[in-house]
Amino acid sequence: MRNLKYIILLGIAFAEFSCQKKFLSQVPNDKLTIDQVFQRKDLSEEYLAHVYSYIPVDVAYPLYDPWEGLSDEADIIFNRPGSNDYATYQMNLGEWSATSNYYNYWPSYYNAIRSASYFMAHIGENKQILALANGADLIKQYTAEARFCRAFYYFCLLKQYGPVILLPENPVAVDAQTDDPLLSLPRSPYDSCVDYIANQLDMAAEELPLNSSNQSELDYGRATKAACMAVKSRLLLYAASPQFNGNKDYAGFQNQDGTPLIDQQYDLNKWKRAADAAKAVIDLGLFSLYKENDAQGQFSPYLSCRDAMLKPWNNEWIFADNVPNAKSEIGLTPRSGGGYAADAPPQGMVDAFEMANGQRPITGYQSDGTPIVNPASGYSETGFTTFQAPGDPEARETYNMYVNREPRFYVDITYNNAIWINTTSSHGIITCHFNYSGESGAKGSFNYPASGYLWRKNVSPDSDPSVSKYVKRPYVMFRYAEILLNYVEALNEYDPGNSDINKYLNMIRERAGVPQYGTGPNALPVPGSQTAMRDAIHHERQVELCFEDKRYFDTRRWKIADQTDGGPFYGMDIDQDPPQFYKRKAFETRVFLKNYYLFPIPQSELDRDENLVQNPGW
Amino acid sequence: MNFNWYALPALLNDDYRRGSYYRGRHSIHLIMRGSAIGLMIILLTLQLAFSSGARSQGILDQRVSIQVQQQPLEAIFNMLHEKTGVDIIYSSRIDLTKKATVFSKDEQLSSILQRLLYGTNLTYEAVGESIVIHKKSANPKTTIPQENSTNSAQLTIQGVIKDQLNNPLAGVSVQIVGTTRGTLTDANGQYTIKVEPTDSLKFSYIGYQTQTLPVKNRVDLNIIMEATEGSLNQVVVVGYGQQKKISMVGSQSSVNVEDLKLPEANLTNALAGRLAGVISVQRSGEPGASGADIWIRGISTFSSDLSKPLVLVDGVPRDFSTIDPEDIASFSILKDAAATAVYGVRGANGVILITTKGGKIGKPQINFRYNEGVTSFTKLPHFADGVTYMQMSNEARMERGSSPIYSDEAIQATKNQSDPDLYPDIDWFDVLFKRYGYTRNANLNLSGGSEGAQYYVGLSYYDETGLFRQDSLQKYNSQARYKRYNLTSNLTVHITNSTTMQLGVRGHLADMSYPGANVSGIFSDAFYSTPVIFPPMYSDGKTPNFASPYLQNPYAELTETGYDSRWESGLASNLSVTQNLDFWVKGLSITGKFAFDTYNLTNMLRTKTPDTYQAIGRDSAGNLIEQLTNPGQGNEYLSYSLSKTSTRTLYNEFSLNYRRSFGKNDITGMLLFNQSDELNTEASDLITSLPYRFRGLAGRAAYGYANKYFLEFDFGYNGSENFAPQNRYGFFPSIGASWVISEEKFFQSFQNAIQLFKLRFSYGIVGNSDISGRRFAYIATVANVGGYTFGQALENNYSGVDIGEYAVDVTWETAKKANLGLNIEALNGKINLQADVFNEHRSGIFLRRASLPQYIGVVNPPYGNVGIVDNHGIDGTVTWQGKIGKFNFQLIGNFTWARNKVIQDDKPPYKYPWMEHKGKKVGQEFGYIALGLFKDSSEILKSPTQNGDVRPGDLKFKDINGDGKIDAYDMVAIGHGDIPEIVYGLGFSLGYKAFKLSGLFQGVGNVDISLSGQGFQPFQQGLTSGNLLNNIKDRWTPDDPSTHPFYPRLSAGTVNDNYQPSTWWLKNGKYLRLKDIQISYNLPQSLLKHIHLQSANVFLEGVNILTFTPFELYDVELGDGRGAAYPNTKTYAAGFGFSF
Repeated sequence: MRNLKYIILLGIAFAEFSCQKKFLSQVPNDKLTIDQVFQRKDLSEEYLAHVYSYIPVDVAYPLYDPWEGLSDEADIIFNRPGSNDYATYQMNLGEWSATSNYYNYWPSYYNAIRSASYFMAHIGENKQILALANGADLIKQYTAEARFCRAFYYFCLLKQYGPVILLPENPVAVDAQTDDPLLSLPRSPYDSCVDYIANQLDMAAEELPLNSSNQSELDYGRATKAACMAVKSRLLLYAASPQFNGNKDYAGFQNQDGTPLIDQQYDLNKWKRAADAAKAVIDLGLFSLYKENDAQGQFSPYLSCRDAMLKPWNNEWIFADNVPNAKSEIGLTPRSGGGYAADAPPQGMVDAFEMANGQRPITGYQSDGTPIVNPASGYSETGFTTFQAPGDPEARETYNMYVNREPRFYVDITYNNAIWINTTSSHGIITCHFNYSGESGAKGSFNYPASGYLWRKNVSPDSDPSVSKYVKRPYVMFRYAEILLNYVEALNEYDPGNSDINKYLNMIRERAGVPQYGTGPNALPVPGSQTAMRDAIHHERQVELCFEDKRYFDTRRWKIADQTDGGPFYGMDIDQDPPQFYKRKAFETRVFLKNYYLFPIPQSELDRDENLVQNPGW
Repeated sequence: MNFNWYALPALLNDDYRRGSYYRGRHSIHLIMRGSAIGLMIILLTLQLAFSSGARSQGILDQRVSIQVQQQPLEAIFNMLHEKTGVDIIYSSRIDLTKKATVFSKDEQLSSILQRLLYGTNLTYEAVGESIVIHKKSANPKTTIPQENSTNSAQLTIQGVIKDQLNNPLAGVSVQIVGTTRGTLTDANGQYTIKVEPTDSLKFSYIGYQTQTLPVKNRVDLNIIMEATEGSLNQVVVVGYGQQKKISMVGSQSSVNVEDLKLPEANLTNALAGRLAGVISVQRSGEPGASGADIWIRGISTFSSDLSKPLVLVDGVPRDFSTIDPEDIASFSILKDAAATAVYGVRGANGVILITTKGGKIGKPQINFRYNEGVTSFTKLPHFADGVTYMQMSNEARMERGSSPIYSDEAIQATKNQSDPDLYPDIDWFDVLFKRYGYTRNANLNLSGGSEGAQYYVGLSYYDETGLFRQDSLQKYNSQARYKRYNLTSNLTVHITNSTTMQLGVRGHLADMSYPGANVSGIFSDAFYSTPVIFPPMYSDGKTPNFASPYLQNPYAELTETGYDSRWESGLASNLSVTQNLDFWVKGLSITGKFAFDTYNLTNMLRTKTPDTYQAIGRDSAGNLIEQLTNPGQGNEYLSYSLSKTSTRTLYNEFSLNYRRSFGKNDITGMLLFNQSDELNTEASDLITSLPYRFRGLAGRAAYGYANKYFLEFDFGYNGSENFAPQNRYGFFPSIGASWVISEEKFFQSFQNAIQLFKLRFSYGIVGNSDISGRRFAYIATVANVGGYTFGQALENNYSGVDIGEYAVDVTWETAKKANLGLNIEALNGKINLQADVFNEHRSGIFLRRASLPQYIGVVNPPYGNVGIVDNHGIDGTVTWQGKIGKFNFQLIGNFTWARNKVIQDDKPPYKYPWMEHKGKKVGQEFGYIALGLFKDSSEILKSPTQNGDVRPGDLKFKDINGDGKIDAYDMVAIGHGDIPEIVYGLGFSLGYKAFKLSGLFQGVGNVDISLSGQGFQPFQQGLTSGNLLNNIKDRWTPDDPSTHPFYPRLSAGTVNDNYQPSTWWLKNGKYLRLKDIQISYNLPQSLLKHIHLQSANVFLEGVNILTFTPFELYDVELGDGRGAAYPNTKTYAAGFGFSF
């Protein structure tokens, strides 16, 4: 019976293992849960930080957003078929459908909206905050911040997709059954969306500090009342514009139940609302255009325009993306500076900059793309001059196209043989060459500018991508110059001839160092008609706000995108070396279809929501 | 009862054969030379003894002098043997521990023995040349023969004959070799026969391998009969046990493990075409990363990754890719529910069962096998030369209205190679690869044992070098290389008559080295770099690269980026104890098993980035003018980083087994409990740091009647950590039955032709609890997500949190499987056929709920048991073996076909029915239907609008929805996909005298290759990046408007939809490959006698040496894309093996 010994031993072992009841229940119960996030102050604040994190990198970074690459202010020829990176190349060729999902921000902004709503629904439970002396106020403020973010994200959707789906205050349950009406919501009419967002911004504004000057320095970047007002100004300006104000092209754009999504009645009063909203920001008296003097103490338009973007939270800034993400500069830096040299403004954008005398160099183009040169401007496309550009440490042989342009040209454009903005790195002075065998030319790499230009707005002179040195700074999203331009544009539509129009428009020109209309040195004549003034305002906006994610939306809301964004795009001849390089040549023929005025709603979303209608033409 | 008992391996150097006469000693020194780096030397000294021939009579009268004090009898007998050379035979059951003292001088042996045995119950007698010690009591085992009076004495031999399942075998023929005398075993398997000590006995029984054993020195001969290959008596491995093949109700396939011994590192590569039911693809031949993906009966769920079978090595879930095939005793796959139900929640994808070799009773046997071979690529893509590349670049531009990019002078300079620095012409694969690598493979094993203990020890070495070139100036070796050492040992000890212990320890060490840059990156860059972009190295020694922060010069990546060393070690051990409970309930036994495994991978990267330059011309002195192209990025000195992967696994199992026959009734029962606990010891977060656990109960009840009707019920009852406690355990039953029709009376008229005709059917449920990337699905998670920064100086940083995954109340996926099978054995075993038809319905497959609209804002939609996939197919094996004169042959054909279909994927209906994924295969590719090329512009005008620049010679697509434009709504399901639906194999083995030719043709069908990618599609990314294949001549040009060239009109960049997925780029990926062929020669016995070897052979072997396929661009097995992966290699090897 000695075998019994083994049986007993085995039996004991068996019993022992099978008695570990917790064997499969091993997850510790003090693992962090979402309920605990809303019981602790620090975790709730981290949650709120996540709500903010969806604020777009509103500085041109062609990997992340298409607003430059799809508009006439830039072209990125990186071509990655099958990938959503740099997809503007395919989109510009017309290879774009509702299933492409290029730059499809629909899901991410709705994720952001859900997070904001969830926060607003639960932050009131936070006992740790409530126990503080100012706990109740803090909860009001945090709620208002989330509300601001949510309104802003709705606006981001609105400008990209047109009328959106407005959700209930609280998030939709994830285990909602398929037949739940909340899973098949229709779109809300455009004007309802605008009213909802404006109303939310007003609500948030009531609980928020007025401006950054009323905040602790540690809180810069949080929502303020001024930020709410600035978003509202842009929102109402867009809403008053021809694309959404009685646009007959959208006559059949309606929900399945027949609800029109774009009001077919033109309403002049929308312009008044827009003008009032902008004026309200101006009337706060908190902001002014940033100005800077040079080393000699002289007012320097070049430094002012350049550093208005670069000096964090200067008096022109209303709201900024406060996350340092200067990596965009790598695409704007020549290859010899360690960059990709790939983000190229086409010739049309380069031509838009005025001469130093305030005259536009080009007044139009012949059908073959030949420019019609404004003889009064002094502009020439032949020959070289020894010229020292503003900001440059030395004079050099410069092609005459780039001589004597307005200061903003030198702030914003890197042209062939220009000196790179960073002259103090270990590489010393870098000369940019975009010709075929130049250091950043097409010969050596697929990283080269298709037009023979780079833009350089918002590039810090101290950044050096070659050693991954980027100057960490916030990126301005709402600045006073835009508010002024919003105001004059709306006012010119609603109340043409109002003296405020010329007054505020000239503020921009004066800071930019170009002759003003009707006043100051070398004054230009004041545009005589509403149309002429509209043209001047639109043009000023194109130049002043270039490369700031505005032009794309401006050309669409003005309904001019079919002229600006289709057809041949020109640049210098990058397949050649000088002198043949300095010759205009089309590098791309873009396709622009009527439906491109709005992004398509992703087809997969239409498949899921039977009440969701697609944008016209898609 | 055995006389000669053998020492365990550790005692090898001792005189291990006691009781035999040493006529001489031979030492054989085996030295296996290692590789050039002097790597492995195995030095083994064996002392071999050979028994003497005949001895004269009168052994008892020999005179001996011996002096021993208080030694056991056994020791004294040994000394007597050494002094006299007389074999002294005794049973191991005799107690010889009694101690005795003997002082004698020149005394007769008989007298000494009498004194020694005085007072014991033992006596002695001389039998032939030996002395037999036995008990005095009745029924002596040996008698002096009275009848048949010849001069010689006779032994009476007694024994029991059993099969591999330990069942006694009745009716086994026991015959004295060379005579007609013989007997049969009785119902208890027992026999008795009188023999001469010099006789040999032959044991034979239908369906079993005949064994012949010399009687010499034995008084009992217990035999375990092994069934012949393919016979229904064959014992096959099933889930948690063994069964006779005849009683199988489920679907199981085994491979002849001899066939797995290929000169390849990874066992997974040897399976396709050898086992009916296995679908397999090998996507890389890179040393150390060449494992094939294996699916049993294809894919029945949405992820090919989650369709991987459960693999058990020696009963424990383990990886098998690193096992040396030499150490494998059996390799089987379980396919249907009856076979896999016992694995419950883990059995849904089929099971692979591997057992490693154990020892066999007998004298120590040593096997040695060595082979060495050269490897080369099966097929590399061929790139166009520089001049062609430049001409094509110019054509691509000119064909679309632009000016040429390369001047005639540049083309001329490239042609002349007047200045290879500035005008290079590089075939990148030529630069990167040598023509040959090598493999080397050695295996030594030792096995043997007595009835008390059996052992097996195997030691093997594998070494494979990749085909990368080395730079002569390189300071260290960055060649891809894979070296592996395996040690396998199995020990079975019968502690008592009813208690058996088994101990297995298996370890492997793998040493791998790679270039500092990722190998797949090197391949990609060979496809990205044009032949004229830069030379591999400038003549002045500088590293070329165009301006980029990343190194894209493939040669520099290979030679200038440092090296990557990896060291992998694995230990697998298992200990089990089986207690036979026959004394309590006959046929019952209990087994406890414990296994402990560890795995470690250490990855040491020593990398650098060279400073790179671009030559832009030459100065007046003729020196290159070079620009630094990666300012600030280069670091010429090695930097170091380390990463580790490590796991440890514990496994426990307890089982009760019952097996007994009552007349014609066979009853089997099994109840088993097991659990496993795997810990990732390098876990990086809380969730992955928790051990991966499983626990379950499995059971089997089988009944067989008269070897004719079989019924079996199996179940698994399993728990998974993924589910909430109330859903945690699932019950997975299956039922199976089989009917051996050939045993029926009415079948007797066919018996001459068909010996076996058997039908099998099974139906059951198995499960899956694995959710990709999600554990503990019943618990919600908080995710660390993007945060935000506040503060004027960006000083106020917040990390972010949000809901990560929602808690879901999911449970296991269930696979309902039905299998109908057939076994036929005809022409007296010459033809064997096994065929199965299967159908599987998998429901409740975990998917994220795709029907939720995105606007509700859920980042990670919750999982649900929502998917449904159907899978069905057939698989079968047919074997034909025979003999024509001295020529014998065996042919084995395998066939597998499996097709799946998505029934439910929770996706909302698509806009058009042809876009729908439901009803299509899992992972179905969608694309345009290419109608051909546009002939002229009028055809373009008449056709639906296509994107981009469309000209004659561009692809014309079908407008499926008829809306007049070609867009994503016109994409339909195209092709079979890149995982084959059909896999088949034809194995052959032809023997003539001492020669043997064997091999395997392996093929696949219903598979397509979808071509795409930069470097394949001409100038897809423009003209500065992207290589060109040399079949570029086969293209559309205005001068040669061929209707179906390989390439459409060229373009610089992707200017239209030519390069979108379409039927144009879809190629048939079927192939038939001579996977393996071997010719071997067995050295004649006459020669072997002189060198004291039992057997020896030499062989030549080839792997992957021939491929027949319509697909010609690259190794067809690499699948979709452009062939930018380390291709499979072909190997020619020569080797030898011997045993003694």
